[in-house]
Amino acid sequence: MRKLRGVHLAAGFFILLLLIAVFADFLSSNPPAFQDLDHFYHPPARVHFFDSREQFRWKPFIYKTELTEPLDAVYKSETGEAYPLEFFFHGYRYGILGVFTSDRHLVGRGQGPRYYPLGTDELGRDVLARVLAGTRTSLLVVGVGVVLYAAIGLVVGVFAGLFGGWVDSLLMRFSEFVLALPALYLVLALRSLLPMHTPFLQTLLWVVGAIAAVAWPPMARGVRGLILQVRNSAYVEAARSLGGTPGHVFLHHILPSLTSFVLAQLALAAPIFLLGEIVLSFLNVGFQDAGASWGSMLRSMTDTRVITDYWWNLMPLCMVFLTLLSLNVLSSSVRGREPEDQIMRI
Amino acid sequence: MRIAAFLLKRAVQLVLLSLLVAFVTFLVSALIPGDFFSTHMLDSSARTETIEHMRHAYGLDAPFYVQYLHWLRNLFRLDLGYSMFYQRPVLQVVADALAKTLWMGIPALIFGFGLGIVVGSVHGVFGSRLPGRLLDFLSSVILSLPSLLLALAALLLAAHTHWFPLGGMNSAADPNAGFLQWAIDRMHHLILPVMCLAIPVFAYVERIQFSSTRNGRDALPVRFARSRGLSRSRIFFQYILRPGLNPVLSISGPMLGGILSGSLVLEVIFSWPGLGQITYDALFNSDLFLLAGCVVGSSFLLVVGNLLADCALMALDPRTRSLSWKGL
Amino acid sequence: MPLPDTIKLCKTVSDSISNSLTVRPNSMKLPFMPTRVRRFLLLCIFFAVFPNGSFHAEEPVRTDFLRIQNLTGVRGGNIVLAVSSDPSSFNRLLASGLANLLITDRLSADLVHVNRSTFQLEPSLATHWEADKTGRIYTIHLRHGVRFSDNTPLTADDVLFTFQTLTDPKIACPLAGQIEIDGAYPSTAKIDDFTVRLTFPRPVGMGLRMLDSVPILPKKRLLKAYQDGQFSAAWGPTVHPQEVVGLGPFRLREYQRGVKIVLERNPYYWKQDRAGVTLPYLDTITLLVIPDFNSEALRFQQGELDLMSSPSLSPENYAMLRRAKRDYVLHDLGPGLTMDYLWFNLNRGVDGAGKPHVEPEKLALFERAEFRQAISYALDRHGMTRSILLGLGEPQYGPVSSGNAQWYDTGISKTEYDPARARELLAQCGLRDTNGDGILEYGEKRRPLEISLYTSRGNNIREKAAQVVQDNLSKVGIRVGVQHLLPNEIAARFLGTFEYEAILFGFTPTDVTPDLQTNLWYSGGNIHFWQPNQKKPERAWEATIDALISKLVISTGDAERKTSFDQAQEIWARQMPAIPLIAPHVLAGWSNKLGNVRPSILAPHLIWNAEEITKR
Repeated sequence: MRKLRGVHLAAGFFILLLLIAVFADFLSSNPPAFQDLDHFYHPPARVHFFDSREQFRWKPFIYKTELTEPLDAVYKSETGEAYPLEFFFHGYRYGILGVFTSDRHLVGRGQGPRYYPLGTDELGRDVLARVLAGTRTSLLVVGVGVVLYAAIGLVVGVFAGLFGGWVDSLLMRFSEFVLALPALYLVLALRSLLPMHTPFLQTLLWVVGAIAAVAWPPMARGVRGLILQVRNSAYVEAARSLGGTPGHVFLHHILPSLTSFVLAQLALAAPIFLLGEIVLSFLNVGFQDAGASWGSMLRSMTDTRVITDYWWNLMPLCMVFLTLLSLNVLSSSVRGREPEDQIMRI
Repeated sequence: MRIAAFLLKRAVQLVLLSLLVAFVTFLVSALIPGDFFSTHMLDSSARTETIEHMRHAYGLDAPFYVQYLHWLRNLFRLDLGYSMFYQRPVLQVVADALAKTLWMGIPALIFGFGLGIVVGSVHGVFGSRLPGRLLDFLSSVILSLPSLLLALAALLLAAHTHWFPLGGMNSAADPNAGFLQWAIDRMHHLILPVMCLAIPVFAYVERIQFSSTRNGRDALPVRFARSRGLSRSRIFFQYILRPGLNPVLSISGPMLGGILSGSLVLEVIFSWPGLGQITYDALFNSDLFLLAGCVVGSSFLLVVGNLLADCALMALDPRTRSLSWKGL
Repeated sequence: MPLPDTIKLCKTVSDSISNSLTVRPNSMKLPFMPTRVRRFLLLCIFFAVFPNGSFHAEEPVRTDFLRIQNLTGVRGGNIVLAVSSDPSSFNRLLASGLANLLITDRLSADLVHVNRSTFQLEPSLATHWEADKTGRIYTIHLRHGVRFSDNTPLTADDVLFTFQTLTDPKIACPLAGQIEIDGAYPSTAKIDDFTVRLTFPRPVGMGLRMLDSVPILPKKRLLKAYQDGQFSAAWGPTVHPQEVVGLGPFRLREYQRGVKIVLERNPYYWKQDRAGVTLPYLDTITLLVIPDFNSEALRFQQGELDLMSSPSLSPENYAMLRRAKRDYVLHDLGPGLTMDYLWFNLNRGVDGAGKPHVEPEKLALFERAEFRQAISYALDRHGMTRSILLGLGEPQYGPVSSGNAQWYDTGISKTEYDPARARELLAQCGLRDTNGDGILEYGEKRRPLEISLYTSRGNNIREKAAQVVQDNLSKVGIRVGVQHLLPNEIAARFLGTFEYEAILFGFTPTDVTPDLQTNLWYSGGNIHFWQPNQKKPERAWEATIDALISKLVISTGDAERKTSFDQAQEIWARQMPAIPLIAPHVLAGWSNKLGNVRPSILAPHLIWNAEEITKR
């Protein structure tokens, strides 16, 4: 049995995230957007096996709770009646990968007092459901974003590196201009230009687009630098002298030399998109609260009581932290032992 | 001579860049409905004529390219316009705020980089097992924490332990205190914000420096130097550290951008009236001229930071001097 | 008469008296008194009679102090509080925004003042005033002997100068709207040095209440700036503190941008307490610039700040402070005047390109009272106050907050939370869900009903309320898309470009009386939310409200005014042109070291009587 290294843990975590993203609704007990204004800041539900008469019940159950003090969100359990948890119960309808629909959920309650495994947020929405739905959002942002980032960077870098001359200068000037833009402020201002209705897909494209539009320069410059290097190297010259057309040389000799760099950049870019989405949603220019994302959930942190009293709302922070950690571990293993080669300027 | 030409070229680029950035600001502001006086109608139930008069006085009713040209013309007289929100010349407000941001940013950079380089080098040279792995883990952890959380945690720490003040630049203290007391008070107020800003920088720099030191340690020139019997410290400083600083310096330019935008969050939480907060105020109140001034100010800072990093790189690493820098 | 002449005269008098006394040879001689002593005694008698050293009776410098009965206190101390932004001007006439008002209200005084605790109009710089039979002409009598903070006397000239600058269209004074009656300003006339006459175009129901907070400015200091066209910049943030002269209890000592503003006692203030001690009690007031509400709450808890109130004392901070009880006291003053409304765009026109502001089918829907009432029934206001305001708020069903005890219509119709009724009303408007997707369809093409809702960024309560509205309306079948915009942008949209479908926004009236919000109530008003600047009322009920408000502002009888206003409120509650949501409670906290604190629901809640506050 091979030793369990950090890389394995990180990869395993990512597979877990993927599964969560696909089956988020199945694992949730309540719809992520459902507001239960009578049970806001509800602590994680206490599951009992022994009822008030000290009798064991096979089915775990919860008690009904009532809000006695809205100012401090104090809840009192009514230990009179036990409400058992149902498994694979019929809840709200949802779709899986846009193909199947189902209304089964892993655990929860169909009616009566709702089951909140990780408590609720400031408007009574199920925290666990939102975290799971947010996983889907974040993975999409990172996935699509990283691809977009690589695409833009590659295109610009290749054009600059291959054609040289004024094309190169223009593109590099442009990349410097983009680097010099105080991106955050312009993004805040630009948000107002969006059309009136913003469903999930459009918001996703906006968030990914905004981040990619300001983050691409380092990738482009790296690609350009590498192409400049490789262009004049021995094997390319050999290929050209053997009669290879420029297209062939490019596709089969130059491009493959970029692969390790591109992969390393992808790994480096993922945290940028993750954190970028969080910052944008936190400032209310990304995902609004109904479209749950980790960033929009973190907006509740502006109330300092969340950190001390309603700590279950910090779950997205946990997820962000774990995801970033795994990304760091994965990227350092992908980069190999010479990370500075990717950064160094010659 | 070449260095002078290089610097001149960069300076010209800087100016052009700033002007372009300002143009974009005017353009974007024109696309958003509303200007500084829109909410004045609600506050005052003033006459529409008065509001129109004020708009005209500030030139807000002109199309954006006219506004931009006016702004350019004034720029040659070093007049960045008048801030409607602060009722002072923009240059004054921005310079003031910039100074305050640098109060926080420069110590953070010095600590972050300095400590990061030192610790990274030590770690790379000695590379012991347990402390090394611990440091790796810690820096991964730190890099995974958003600065917002760090700041909030720091504030709560200050509130509970009373070791640090809860924000602000100075205490509402005795106006007759001497300079030394003022300086100590300022340092006291700087500790938490600078730490929050410096810690992520430290983690990032430490990692890069560690890997570059470790590779440098095993490189051929070093082995050769050791075989020649050079002293350990000379080997370290001349053969390992100096070439090894290349990656760190390469990222230091863009890192400045991160410092600037990260400090917005910290400035709000620690009530530090710096450039980030001013820019946010300008944006929030649609103060067009202040926004243009701030945007130019921050892009100025970014480019100067990059320039300084490049100069340091060129000074330190002769390999970077020879190749043509035309493209960069 | 100058002093040296007086002494010469005394000498002459004393000599003549002593001569007259020594002339008669047989009379009793006065006991031996050297000439010098005699002269000295006479001088003393002289000065006892004429204290100024001359025979002219100069004007008595005695100030006619305003004596506040039931007020006692001890002098001394400094209080520290927070402002959320830097002041943009130290001139009360030009100030707007809470931070500016907090500071400039302490530096200036008005002719008459509304007592923030009793809401009654009280004499301030004016000792008394009377209206003539027509109710249009008011004669105001100024207090004698009042001096500005630089020891120059107050006269009617200063009052006239103030009105001149206030009504000047080239200077955008936020207070100008307060004294505007039917589009015209009152004319002012000087009767004598201490009497001013104001003439209005028509009888004014609220009387001189409009002059509350209108500061009297020193003509000598500001005349030159005004004539040079520099009035607006005269007392800007870079002004030298000694230049800012006013009649308020405090004067400006120091200002550091982004850090603090320090006010010190005005030694020439014209109010006294019961025992004749000149107010204010406090030596200084320090205002720290703290933009972040959480930081302010933490610093208040630590004791660095002496007082704190809404809006920085939000329900969350209130809960936190209540738990970490230290040396302070917290009060819940009940609902304030701030309210948020949800309204639909009822503008019928087209924009520059000929496109209608609102899609015609949607506009037809918005125009129906049943639709708007349905929306109101669909909103769970109690849920909002419970979760957003942590119970420290009040659901509102009418245009005026229930916290406005003097003017609120207690019998107003209430559209309490009733989703079933909402669906009924929506069905009456022709909205049905035919394809079972949970969203109602409207119009000929049976499109799903989706409405975009704009609300302002940066206001926690509004952002959360928008989400609750979105959720509530989705439960009755309307899909709402929320977008957060800058406040200036929202104002521009509903006051200028009219490009929106629904807006959730609010504002805070500065006074309880509705006379000061006619621009909102009249259909032709420029901040008449849902359709401003109507040339003539476009709907029957708008015309009715216009008539009621016109009656209100002219009549002087309190009962009459209240009845008219009640009727206007009732019409609003039935028609719901702007749907009221919730009114947060005003919360206040102050250190136990402070005395004479009288919290009010009118801003600034705790230091409106700064001159009376004491600190031990």
